[in-house]
Amino acid sequence: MSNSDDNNRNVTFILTIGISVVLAIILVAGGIYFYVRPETDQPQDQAQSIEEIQQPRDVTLESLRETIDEQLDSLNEDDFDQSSLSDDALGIN
Amino acid sequence: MNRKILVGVFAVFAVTALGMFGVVSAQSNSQQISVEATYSQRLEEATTDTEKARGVLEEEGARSCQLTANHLKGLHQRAGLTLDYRVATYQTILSETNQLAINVESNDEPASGLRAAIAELSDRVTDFTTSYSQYRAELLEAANIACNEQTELRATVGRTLSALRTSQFHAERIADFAQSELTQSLELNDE
Repeated sequence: MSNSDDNNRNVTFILTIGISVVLAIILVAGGIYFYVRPETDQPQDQAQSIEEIQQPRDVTLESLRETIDEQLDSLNEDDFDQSSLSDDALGIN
Repeated sequence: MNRKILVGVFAVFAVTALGMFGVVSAQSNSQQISVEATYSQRLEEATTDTEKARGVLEEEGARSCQLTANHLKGLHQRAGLTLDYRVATYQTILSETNQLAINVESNDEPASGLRAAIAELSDRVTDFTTSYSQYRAELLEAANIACNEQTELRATVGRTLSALRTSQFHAERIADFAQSELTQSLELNDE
């Protein structure tokens, strides 16, 4: 095997890795931009969400259970606090 | 050398795929967190607004009944945010359950039990919306008559408390149904 062949392979190797790294950076940057967009893009986000809702989603019994737990856990237990309607809180005798 | 190239390319794409997965999963988690954060922030803002208004009223030497009215208006504002957030939360559960019913039916499997459970949950959400809206209406009424006779205010506050207890009962019925009967009907459907 000649030095020229070795050099060609080294160049090919470096080029391939280089291109792959650039592609990877573009993909990740694109992904981040897509998901973390400024608020001015929100109408578009909403339109996209509606599209996503209309498409079939893979909901399973397990994922539904998780969703139910997550959603119910996010609720505030103080929503029904009656102390804010007490005489003291209202400032009446 | 070829093996090195393949390993290198594979490694780069593996890292990329992992990164994309991380971004997507982080985003799906952050959506729920950001909705909660917005709700909490708006509740805090409402509380701050009420406190500021109280400060202004005190500086102006307002009567105590005006402070009571301000307090009740603040509760009314917070209750509006709570109603929106809770209804959106329940709608998310209904939407996911409905999607599962669609998936089941698309496999030519019966989902009648699931459909009945969705209808029941939907009715319970409607009950909650009605009773909590009643609570809000009574709060506003109480704020508007805060400077009338105290017996009138007490009667309205009594109705407000009653509506709040009813809406709490309705909210508990939703949570109980979603966490037990709904998922049980799904299990039966699964068998």
